[in-house]
Amino acid sequence: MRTLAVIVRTTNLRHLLGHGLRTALTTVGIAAGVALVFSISVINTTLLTSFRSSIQNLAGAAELEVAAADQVGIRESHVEKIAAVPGVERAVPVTRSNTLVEGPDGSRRVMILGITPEFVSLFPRGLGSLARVRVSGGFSGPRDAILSKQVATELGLGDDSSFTAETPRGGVRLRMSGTISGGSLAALNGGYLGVMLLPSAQQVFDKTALVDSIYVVVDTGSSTSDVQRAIESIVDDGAIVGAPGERGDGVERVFGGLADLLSLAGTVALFVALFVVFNTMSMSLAERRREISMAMALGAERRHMFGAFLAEAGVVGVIASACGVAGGLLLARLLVVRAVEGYQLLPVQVGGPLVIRPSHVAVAAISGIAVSLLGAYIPARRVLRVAPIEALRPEASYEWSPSTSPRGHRARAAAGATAFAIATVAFMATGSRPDEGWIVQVGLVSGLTAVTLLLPYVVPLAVRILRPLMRAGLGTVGRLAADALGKNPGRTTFTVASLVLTLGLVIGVGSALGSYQTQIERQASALIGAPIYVTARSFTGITSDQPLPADLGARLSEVEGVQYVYPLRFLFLDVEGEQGLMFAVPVEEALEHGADTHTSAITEDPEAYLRTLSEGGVAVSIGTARRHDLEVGDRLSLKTPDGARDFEVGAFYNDLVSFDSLYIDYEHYRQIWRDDNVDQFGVLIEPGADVHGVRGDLQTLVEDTGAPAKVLLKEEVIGDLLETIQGTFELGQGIQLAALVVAAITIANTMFTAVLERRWEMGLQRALGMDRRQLARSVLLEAAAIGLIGGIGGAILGTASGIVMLESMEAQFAWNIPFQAPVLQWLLAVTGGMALAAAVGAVPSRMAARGSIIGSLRYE
Amino acid sequence: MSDPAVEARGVFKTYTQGTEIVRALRGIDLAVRTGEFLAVTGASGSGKSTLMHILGGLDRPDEGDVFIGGEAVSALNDQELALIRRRRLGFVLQFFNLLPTLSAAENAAFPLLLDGAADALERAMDGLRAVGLAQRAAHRPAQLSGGEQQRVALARALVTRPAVVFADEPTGNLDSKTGGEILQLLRAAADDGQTIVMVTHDDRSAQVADRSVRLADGLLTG
Repeated sequence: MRTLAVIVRTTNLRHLLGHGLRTALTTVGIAAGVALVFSISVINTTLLTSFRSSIQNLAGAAELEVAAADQVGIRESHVEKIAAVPGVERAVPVTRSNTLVEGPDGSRRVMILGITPEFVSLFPRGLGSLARVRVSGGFSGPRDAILSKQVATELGLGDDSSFTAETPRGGVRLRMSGTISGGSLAALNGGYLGVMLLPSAQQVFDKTALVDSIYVVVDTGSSTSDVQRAIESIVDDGAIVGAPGERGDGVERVFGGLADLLSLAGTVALFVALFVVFNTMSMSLAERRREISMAMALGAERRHMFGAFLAEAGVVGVIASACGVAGGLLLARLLVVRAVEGYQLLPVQVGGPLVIRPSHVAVAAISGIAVSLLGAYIPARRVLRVAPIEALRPEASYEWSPSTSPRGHRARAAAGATAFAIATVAFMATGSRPDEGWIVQVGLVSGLTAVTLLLPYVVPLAVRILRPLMRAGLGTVGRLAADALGKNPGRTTFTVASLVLTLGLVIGVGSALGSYQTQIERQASALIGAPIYVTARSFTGITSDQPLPADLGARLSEVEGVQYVYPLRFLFLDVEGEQGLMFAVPVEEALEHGADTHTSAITEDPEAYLRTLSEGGVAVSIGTARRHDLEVGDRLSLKTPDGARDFEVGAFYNDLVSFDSLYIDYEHYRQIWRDDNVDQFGVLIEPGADVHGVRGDLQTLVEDTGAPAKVLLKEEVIGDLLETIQGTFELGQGIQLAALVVAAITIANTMFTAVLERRWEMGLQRALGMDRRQLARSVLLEAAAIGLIGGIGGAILGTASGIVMLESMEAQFAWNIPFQAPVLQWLLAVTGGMALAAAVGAVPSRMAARGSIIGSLRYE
Repeated sequence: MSDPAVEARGVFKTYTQGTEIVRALRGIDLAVRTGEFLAVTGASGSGKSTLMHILGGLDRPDEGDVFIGGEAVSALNDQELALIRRRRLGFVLQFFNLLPTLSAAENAAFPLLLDGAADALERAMDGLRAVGLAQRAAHRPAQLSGGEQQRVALARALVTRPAVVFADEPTGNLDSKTGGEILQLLRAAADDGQTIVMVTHDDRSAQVADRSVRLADGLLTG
């Protein structure tokens, strides 16, 4: 141990310090991977914690929550009935309204709770003791609201100042009658919170006689499960009764799927970081072969040298992990807001501190150190196999990469094939086990391993093809660049592999997303049948926080040029315990009045689809049918205000959301759910009417009425929808970009080490008359060739993975999406790969050209 | 009388090695006539390699100047100096003389290839024939013996018919028999009118030259 410590201190650490640039590049490469993994896990946990806290923290001491199964709410009259159930100590009603609040300094989405004085009793020792919440002010009028200090500060609101909250009736002026702060408020909807008295909130947000949840405190000594059963028997509107937070399970499952997708990018980045370490350690060890041999000739043991190199890698790993965690924190802070915007499904806001668990730090740190050790392990073993006397030759320090034995080749090929098989099985299994995120991770890591193990056979082949072309097209300089690629096939392969993997990830996700968007656009164009839509301002593309009142439709119909107006309602609801989305649309009625809707774009049997809706049945998505094992003619139970009700499943359709969805006729929905609200009005215009003129008149009307609505043309509705979908994937794209940065670092690392490795060769070339520009060009061409091969490989891998992803989506969500060849992305991958490589190769090429000839020709 | 092929006038060169300042050359005046075979001898560390590097345009003096065919090196920029090295000078070094990924013929043709000469490989083959290696033209350096590598380097040094060939310890890494062969080839080139400057620490090798000068502590002593 002492010998090892001496070796590490006297040689390894000094070497790290003596090669600052190389050490820095390696550290940055690993740190970037660690930062991605760390930031993704922190973002996901922060969002989930915020979501869970918003549900669970509100419950206080309540053992049970009776929650609405949909966005409409449950009848307030249940509060008394539940309070009367034996064993129930208290039943406390709450409304939750997400609304846009506008103050002097801006606007924010805020969750406003409607509470009764009893709400405080949910926290037996007082709000302060449980959550250290500080409350100032109180309620003295029906338009009073207490806002969190965070909201007040951000929006520039002081005590007694008024602000506007968006409601179904338009903007309503409310008075800030106090503030709340401290405790766990920050985790509650990210601190974007407001409180009103229940009757005021019901009146303002159009929830008369409705509440969203009823929290139930069970008597000491009573059985919670008995009380739950008793409540279930009396709650006839089919609300969800269970432990607080149970209503969020469906949403969490959907969120989990998205979070898994993001984690994949982090895994790829870490994998690529492995190549950075492998490259650097290979070069560094090759350079030190004489030093190592000298130490061994003088009596150092092989195991000590090996341990010293692993210790050196460990030091780099520890530093990189620390930097990665710090960088990841910064990245998480920057991206968490984008994530909130992306996850429109999750009714959550984040404004407080990030949620960092020790496990996040541990996983990130262990990943960084493991990557560093693993990357160093193979080159360290290989270098130490060389006999000391052999390595002491003067030219030995410039040699690299002893050939692999045929047995080694066979073992590598077999391992690659096995990894490929595991990846295939894992991806196929994702369809049947959609909730098991680890299967996807295993598939991904196996796939990456397979690509890495099999690329060493492909890359040299590509170099062999490229070499004569470069020689013929670019002369001696091109020839030297091509030769440089072939000189160190291991390093070239790993560099190309890093580019192939990251570009493959970008193109794979991009082509799958592109195909998805094209299909969405196709379906939207076919289904969105009116030329103009009046849409709730808070409409997110899926549903809206503050829908529009139904009577607005009648006023819209009176506008000149308007032929017919029909309502549309989209809302989340519980479908047999799963998150579901219900589309309530008057399809038949709209078609009769000339809507340009083509249901054949989503269903194979449009007649059955229309007949089902008109007869009061439901059409369910193929994914929903698969998850709930439904056939045409089966009955699906949905929770309605009058209790659970069975609907006949009359048709299937192809939907592109990852959770349950179903269509119902709007009029049936309105009657059954007694919900007059509307998310969108489709506006059909008279033949010959000027669409822009009618739109202008509608806009004027909307402004006059103060309705929280916007008027959009069909194309704009489609555009908004696509934008929403794009937004969902923006975070992933940001992370892909970061993965590309890691790939760029790998190339830079390779080019730097290549230049260092070939110093004498370059010195000789210059001595023989090669000028600086020729030398710089040859290094740049080498980088560009790596970019070209990586780009082509990335395009091939990306296309294949895009197809696999679509197949996986088909298996997992029953999405039927035709693959769109990503031609533009292919071109971008090839040109971008070359440009990226050339850009990061610019510095080493200049370094090579500016180096001293004499210095380069020195033998040591 | 014509200009010397290469000439050093009042050349000084100092460099640092660790904390030590080494005065490698301390006012060297030296002229090499066209067609002359000059041997520069001296002990290790005497400054002979530094002198060769400066005469060959691989390094620049701190003071003084070098003239190649009457042209002052100090007046040339890096690009012009590279062209001079490519077209008017040849080099044979002790170690790592050849580019490992090129064949013997390509190595020999390298300066011509950099110039894009269409007949580069033909001329290189002539050179290889002259040093007795035509049959090894397609071989890579790793497939050649040390002596063969030096012969390829010599063929390369001569392929452009340069004004001066610089040889830095060309036999230093070879056994005496092979080293003798290389010296004979250099001698034959000089007999054909080629100007050669050879740096060597071996007085016996220097005997093959027309003239010898000795360097000691950065000064010419004989």
